[in-house]
Amino acid sequence: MSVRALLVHALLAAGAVIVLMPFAWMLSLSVKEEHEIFTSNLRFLPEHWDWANYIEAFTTGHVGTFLANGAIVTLSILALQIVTIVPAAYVLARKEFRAKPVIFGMVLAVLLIPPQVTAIPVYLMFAEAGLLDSYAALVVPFATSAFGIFLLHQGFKTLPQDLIDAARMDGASEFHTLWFILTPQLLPMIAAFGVFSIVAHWNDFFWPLLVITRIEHATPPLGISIFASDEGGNDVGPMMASATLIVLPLMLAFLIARRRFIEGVTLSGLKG
Amino acid sequence: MAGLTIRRAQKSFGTTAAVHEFSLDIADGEFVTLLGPSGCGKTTLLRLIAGLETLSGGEIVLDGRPIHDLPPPARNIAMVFQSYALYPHKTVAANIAFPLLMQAALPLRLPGLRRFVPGRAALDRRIADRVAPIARMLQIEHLLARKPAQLSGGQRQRVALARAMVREPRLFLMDEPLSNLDAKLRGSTRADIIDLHRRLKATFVYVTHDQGEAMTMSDRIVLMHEGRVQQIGKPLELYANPANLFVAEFIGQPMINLLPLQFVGGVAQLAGQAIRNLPPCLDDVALPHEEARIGLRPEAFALAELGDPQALMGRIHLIEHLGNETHIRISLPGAEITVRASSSAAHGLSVGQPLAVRPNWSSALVFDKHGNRARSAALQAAA
Repeated sequence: MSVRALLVHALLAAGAVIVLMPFAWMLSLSVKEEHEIFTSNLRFLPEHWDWANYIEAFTTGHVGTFLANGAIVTLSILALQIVTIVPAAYVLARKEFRAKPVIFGMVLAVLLIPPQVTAIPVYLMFAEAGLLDSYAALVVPFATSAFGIFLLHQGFKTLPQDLIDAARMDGASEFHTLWFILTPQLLPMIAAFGVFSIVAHWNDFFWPLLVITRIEHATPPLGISIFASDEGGNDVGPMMASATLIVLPLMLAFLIARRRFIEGVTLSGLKG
Repeated sequence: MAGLTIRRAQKSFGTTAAVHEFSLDIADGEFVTLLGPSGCGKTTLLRLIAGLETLSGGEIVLDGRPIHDLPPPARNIAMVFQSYALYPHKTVAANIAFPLLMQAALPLRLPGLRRFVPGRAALDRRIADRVAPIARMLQIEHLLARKPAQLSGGQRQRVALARAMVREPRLFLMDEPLSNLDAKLRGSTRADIIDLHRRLKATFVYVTHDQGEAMTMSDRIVLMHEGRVQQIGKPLELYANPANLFVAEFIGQPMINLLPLQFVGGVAQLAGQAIRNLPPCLDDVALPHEEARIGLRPEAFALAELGDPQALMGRIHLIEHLGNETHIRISLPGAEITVRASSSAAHGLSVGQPLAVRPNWSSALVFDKHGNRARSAALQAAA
């Protein structure tokens, strides 16, 4: 290996250590007993491996509830998003109608608006409808995605017209053509969008913080914060165990579908 | 009456007309080719017949029934696309079965869900029974479980044909189906399609820009240019007796030779060379057209002795040996012509050498300055 490559790798390794340090520390604390956490000397590995923090995370910390809520909310959001963005993107990509430039312009404009801007009006609407502090409040505001429409619009544009015409000649309805002929061609793109959407909403803290007050409806990041402020204020061990458990599903998903994951995360970079 | 009738069909996109008042009668079982350069309206016409585009005017009648207001599947027409348009995520068997599946009741059409619908097994058996003989006929039985991406171009083409055949349509539409194949495969697939047409006894409307394909495959050719019909006729009719300059130039490979005919002081000059005794068959047609052009096919010349008073004199510009024959390009003072000669006759010729060729006047075609055919009784008798 050349000196240059060695230097580059050393630099990258240093960067990795800095990035990974908080995670490593979290893992370390999650398996330590309380008295060991607050000792003055710095030790990475515990003297005595203690899994009680994890048990406590589930019993008093409600981590099970947070994980279940996270799964319900992110998957519901994704399902609704697919149902709405596929037809919208198809129509914008393949149909000609007078209002199209205006509607497509609106979709693009929404991409430019940060969600925090619309948070207050949306909050008021949900308050008016009496839907605060419910799954609906977590899911419905994200039922469609301007970014998803834009992304799939590009995808539908690349599909050959012959494919649509062939399906028409063969007697397929427009609904069948869209969902069972065209959409399967965009599955890689939809999977990447799915990763992007799940990661964004699993990790979302801002919106759940606004609309959720009860711990039974809390999503993982909000749950942790409620746990920290309510009862777990000093229970660093169980808190670190909870944090570990919340990061775990995305970690596992990453290991299983690394390529799709990278595509999805690249998309989020594209958006942000 | 059986067959396809198109009456005064028109199609315009915005202000540009793609097809002008097109009329054609296609007999039951006929193989008709729509031929023309790109942008001539032939694909638009095919899509009008298919129902993928709506007519701006006129009517289309299939087997005595007007079809131009029907949606595509109700017309009983199948189409083979230039890109084949196979469904990439479906197996070959599912691709071929798709038109039949789309005729089933709605719940049976839904992927996944159909598993729970009663009657599915019986339907699938019936469909498989119809797919199997077609796959055998096109020799793609061993490919049924594969996906289109795993097939070669020729195999994909056969799957597209099978998918078109499975509904047993009255009419087959083919949009340049050979243009994505390599030259060698094109020849054999051409023969396969002719054979298929003979066996199915169905009506074929075939679109191509390749005059060779049109000449070899069709019962009749419709030659189009800028949305208008130039000529309709049997392949050899278009070759020997073109209606105008466009047809004469489009049909035939190598291209027809066009020699300007002028009269200078009462003396006829062909490509800048005085013709002492203009053949009688030409003189009465050519004289009224002061700027006529004489069309002579490359085979309408014989190599002659230098100094032959009936011959045109020129210099050899290029020699192309094709093995069975030789194409000789000759520079004349006022034109450049291609002459087709046998390999033995062309033996020993070299570039730059002077050469005399004697035109066979009986096959000469005369065009006026607008490119229209100028005919005379004598010429028509000769043709």
